[in-house]
Amino acid sequence: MDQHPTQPGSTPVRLRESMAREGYVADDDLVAALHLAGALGKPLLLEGEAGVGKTEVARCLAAVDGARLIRLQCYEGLDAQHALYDWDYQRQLLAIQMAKNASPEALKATLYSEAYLVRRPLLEAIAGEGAAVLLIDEIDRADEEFEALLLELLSDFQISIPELGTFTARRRPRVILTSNGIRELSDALRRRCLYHYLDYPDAIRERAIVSARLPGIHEHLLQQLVDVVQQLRGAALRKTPGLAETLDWAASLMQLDVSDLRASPRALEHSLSALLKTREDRDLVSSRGIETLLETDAAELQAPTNRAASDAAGD
Amino acid sequence: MPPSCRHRRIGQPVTPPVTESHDDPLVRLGDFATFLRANGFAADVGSVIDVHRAASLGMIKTRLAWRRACQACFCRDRESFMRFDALFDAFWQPDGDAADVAGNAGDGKTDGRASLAQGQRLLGMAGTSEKQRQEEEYFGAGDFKALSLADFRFVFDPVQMAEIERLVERIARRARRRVARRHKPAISGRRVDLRRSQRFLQRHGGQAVELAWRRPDRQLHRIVLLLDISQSMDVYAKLFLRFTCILMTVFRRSHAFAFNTDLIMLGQGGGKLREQDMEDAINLTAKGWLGGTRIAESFENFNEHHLQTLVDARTTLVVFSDGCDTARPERLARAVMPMQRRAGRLVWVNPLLGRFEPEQANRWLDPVLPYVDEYCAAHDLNSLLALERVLLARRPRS
Repeated sequence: MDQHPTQPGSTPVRLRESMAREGYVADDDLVAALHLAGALGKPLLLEGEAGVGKTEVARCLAAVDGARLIRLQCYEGLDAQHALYDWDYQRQLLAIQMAKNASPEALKATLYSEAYLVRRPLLEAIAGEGAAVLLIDEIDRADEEFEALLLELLSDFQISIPELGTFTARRRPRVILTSNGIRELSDALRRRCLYHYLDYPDAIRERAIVSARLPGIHEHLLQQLVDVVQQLRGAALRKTPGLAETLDWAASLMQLDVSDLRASPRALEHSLSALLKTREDRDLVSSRGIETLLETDAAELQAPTNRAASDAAGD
Repeated sequence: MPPSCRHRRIGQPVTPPVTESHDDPLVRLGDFATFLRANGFAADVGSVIDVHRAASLGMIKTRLAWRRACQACFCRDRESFMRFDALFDAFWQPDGDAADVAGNAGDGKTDGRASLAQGQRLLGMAGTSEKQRQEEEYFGAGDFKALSLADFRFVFDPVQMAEIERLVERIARRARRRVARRHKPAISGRRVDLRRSQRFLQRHGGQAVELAWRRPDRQLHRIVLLLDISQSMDVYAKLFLRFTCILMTVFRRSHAFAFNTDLIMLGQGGGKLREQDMEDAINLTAKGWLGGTRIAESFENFNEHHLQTLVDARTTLVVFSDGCDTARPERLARAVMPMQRRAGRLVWVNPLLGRFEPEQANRWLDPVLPYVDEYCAAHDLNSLLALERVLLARRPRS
């Protein structure tokens, strides 16, 4: 089995450049963690708030490596049949009908063969041909039982199927797990992974990301919208806008042909739904006057409840 | 591993590897993992192997790469990720600023710098003396160094207080083991006294008719503890009670008393003294913990009823009090004088001694101090260690 899927001669600098070419502006810490995970053949657990670009890391990595991206979206109730493998019961029934006279042993050997095996994402990543990036997205949404199921896969890169035996990866896929921190993950799972916490980008990196994703954006608009988003992240909003929201908002403003936020208050108001995802947040920003976003300080932009509490404390 | 890490200083010229065991990169990496574990990280052997593999694959050529590799391998969650930089600096950069052990300085990665007070809880094993190294081997570097200078009174974090209690226990248990170890050969039986036997040989014309035996010193000296449980002693008294309770199990003929406005007998040493029993005895009194103080009156009571029976020349009398009394200090001095005369040694432990200047700490004790043989502090773990040495000194006052 190939233990180190990192390409020969790969360095963090080259990886960062390759990712930049794919439109992902990664910080050095993340690149180092990705490079290390590749070299050690270990999964990388990415934690961070929603919308900071965790999933996008896997997409970008697949593009950089020229590998298939195999994605497993986790949810409550996810089980082995949906994550690992299943049997094609309809075809098995047909085969039974067609082979009525066959001996039970022969029939069993036929029915439980790879021909009737339905590969789900995890088995596909292990047993599939060629390079692959396995994205196990939002692992914190899955149950603890499913985490236990992953342990064998993440430590030995193999899957045991009672009827067929053990499938071991001929070439280890890169594995990226993402978590939003909804549920605490088990120590056993964390121990099998390298770890990186993906934080909101600072203004400089956010500008670089937006201009990489939306090459036609006006420089002045870029500066303004990133400043606004950075301010809003310091405010007490219910749903802090992530990088995805920044990109959506920038795309909306470009669609509305805005090049200066001050000059287009109505367009600004209409496009805010791409940035603020709850009514309370919109009301809060609207009550302050949207144009004041361009001058206001984040500390002044407090939620009404927080303001009331601090006023009461002050009294 | 980057060469600069071997010598634990940034900017120093790269020198050939040193062959001493503690400068072995793998050993230092193990030390770092131990240090992280002491600070709440789940840094296991697997993580150490991962970092080592990364280094052996030639992936770590700079200090920054070293930091990032360690961060990816040793961190398991957001909290540890945010605290990592400060701890890394504290370990690999001994002359740098101290770091925030408890992670109280804020969430930002660069906010991990400690305040001056926190800075006293110096982190990192790098650059430590041999004595400190021995202490760390026993207590664990992170545990001890982080808390050794913290005055018990100013530890508000329950987790840290629990850790201090654990360390106090360990200090006491170590002391107990040491006493037991000394005592063990002593009770193993008599030995031939060669020098005196030689004389007997001469007496009998060179025939070994009679041998002289050296008798073991069977009795350990006794400790009698007088513990102040008044309000001014709150945190210290409970910790000191735990400390002495464990220590006194070795000294079979020891006795413990507590006092605030009354004198309360807590129990006898040698396995019969249990912390819970002592606490129960205190709780059963009218005032319980944190009552008022009548030290002189309590000592007079002790002198009247217990001094003759419990205290002798082989006894170390330990008074744990700040001396803050409702009576005049002269009366207290008069009560202490017979105790000191009768006991082998009188040790007065004043937790205020470490907190304030001596003249401020001694303001109630000036008339008493001439009758005190040893005057010690016990406000932090370091002072407890020093006190342990005083209490276990083999010979009381000559």
